[in-house]
Amino acid sequence: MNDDELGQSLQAMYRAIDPRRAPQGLDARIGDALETRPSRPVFAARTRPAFAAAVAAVAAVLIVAIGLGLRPGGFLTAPGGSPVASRLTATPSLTATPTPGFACASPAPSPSPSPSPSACGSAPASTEPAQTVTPPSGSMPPVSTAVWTGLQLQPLAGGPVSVSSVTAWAGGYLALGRQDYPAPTPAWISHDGRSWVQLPADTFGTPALAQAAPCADGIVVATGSYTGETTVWHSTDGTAWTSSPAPQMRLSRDGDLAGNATGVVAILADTPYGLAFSPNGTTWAVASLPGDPGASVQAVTAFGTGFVAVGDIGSTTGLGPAPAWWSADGLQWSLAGVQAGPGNAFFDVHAAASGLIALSHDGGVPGSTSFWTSREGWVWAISPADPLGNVASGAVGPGSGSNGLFSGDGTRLIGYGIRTANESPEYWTSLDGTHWTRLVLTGDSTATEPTPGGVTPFLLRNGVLFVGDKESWFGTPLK
Amino acid sequence: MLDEAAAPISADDAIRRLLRARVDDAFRLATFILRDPLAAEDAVQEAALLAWDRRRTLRDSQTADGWFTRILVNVCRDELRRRARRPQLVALDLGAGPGPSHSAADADLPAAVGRLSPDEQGLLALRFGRELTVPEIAEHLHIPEGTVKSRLHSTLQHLRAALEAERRSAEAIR
Repeated sequence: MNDDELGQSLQAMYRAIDPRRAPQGLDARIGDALETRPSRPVFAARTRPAFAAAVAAVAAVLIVAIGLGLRPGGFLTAPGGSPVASRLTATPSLTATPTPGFACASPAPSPSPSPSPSACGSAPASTEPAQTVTPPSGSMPPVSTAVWTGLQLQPLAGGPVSVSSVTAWAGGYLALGRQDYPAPTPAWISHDGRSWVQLPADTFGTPALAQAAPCADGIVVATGSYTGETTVWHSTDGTAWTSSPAPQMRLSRDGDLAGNATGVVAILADTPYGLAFSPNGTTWAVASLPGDPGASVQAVTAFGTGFVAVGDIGSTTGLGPAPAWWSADGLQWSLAGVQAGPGNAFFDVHAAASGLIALSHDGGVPGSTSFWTSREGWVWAISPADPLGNVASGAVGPGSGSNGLFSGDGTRLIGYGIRTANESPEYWTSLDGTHWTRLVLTGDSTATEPTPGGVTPFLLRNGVLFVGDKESWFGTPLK
Repeated sequence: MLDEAAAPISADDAIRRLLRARVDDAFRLATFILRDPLAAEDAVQEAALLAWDRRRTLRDSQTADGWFTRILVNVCRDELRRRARRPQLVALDLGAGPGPSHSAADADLPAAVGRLSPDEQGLLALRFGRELTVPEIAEHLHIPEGTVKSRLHSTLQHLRAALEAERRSAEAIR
């Protein structure tokens, strides 16, 4: 089927569903909504009301302080005297480091991760006044590379619900809730994965998209607005967050943002999809990718202290081997060797302690959706190790079929799926992507009942967090 | 009797009129992208309110159509992304393998389009649903014509791959 024939089929498809007109009364409802819509000050579109109030309060305090300081004998007239700004500390036990300064998005490729502030003209980072958050109990468990054979499930009181991602970082875990406009994105923090504390509702505003990743000195959350702007929130303690503008990021999938102790790598929004690196989320540099200039990155993951990315070749050169890259620092990337064969488009990559997996689909080349493994991210080969098999119906990965749902936390991988209708999901784990163990689940079986889309497992250092729309469970590993 | 057309109107009134006048076109486009009338209705209302909140960003009333289209496409794109982010467990078939090749049937097309990225689905809806030309799409989305062409080309390539995947899925079920 050539482009013209495909275009005609598409036109026919759209004509078949063409509603011609909007439902009766929709224009009136919109008109009524606009009539009653409160007028918002221009700055409010980019600044949260709580922050604006805090700015006003700080300004009032400064005016009073300057007035007092300028009086005869005031501190502004005394040599060496200086007012010290006090900052509310969210948790005395979690010490915040000084806020990074200027934030900047670098639009041009740069060999340095520290673009000049004057080169981009971005606004400076803003510090939100921290609200009091009771710190979660427990402590961050050590990383374990023991083989898990099962999980003992227990309901988790007060755990996160309706979560889209759980990110491990040096200070614990951050769970981000799903984004449902116009509600704020909920977020929870934990040290041990069992005790969770919800952050203030407006911590990250009401973004359309949100992803989190660890960084060199803490954790970042990248949010995308409904009009495309990206903001990166940085924290060293999980409770006090500083926002900065950032290059426009894709942020539509888990693999669009990855981080480790080296820094953060993000897939940018413009096609062909490229990468940007930042050590701490406040200064960004566009990374240079070798290979076909039309290639797009489709997923990136942290692997040890480096990074691995996979993607597809755009339309400039037609079909070919799927591209993959690796980088030790997030800025300088090298092409990986990819075995020739079916699969010209990678769409997913996940890392464990001793290996990686990737998924691809073929663009017109005969062959099934492929499961790939790599020990170091330098060389990729199709592997028969996929524990779940091919999807028989439905779509999982964007733009393709998939061999199941997989995720990884840099130490361990988890794959899960339902083999046949009315059966419980199967859960498999691996430390290298090649050797898989099926997990035997015991305890509260509610979490494992066959409710498609209902419960999602998230890997933790010390177990698996199962999250549903209204409940969550903690799975303690059996070894 | 006052001639309403000749009466001076405020900028806010002009925006209100524009948004209400664009409802039919907006609903059609949202339906093409989301392929769900209820979701399309929500998207149009959401886009209208968002446009109202962002009305200060409209510098030139001559470009209002493209401005509102961009907002609507972004809202639809984000709705598609939200759908994609909710993982769906699917039945697995370990015995499924590649079957004989044949041309993709039109019946597979809606599902295949659903496998594309939100950006690609939006582009197809503009080009083949709204039947806009490449220059018109470029003007609406504020991107170069060459970019529209290359994106369309790659999108159609991905669509072919998705059709093939749909065909295999259907055969595996059989």
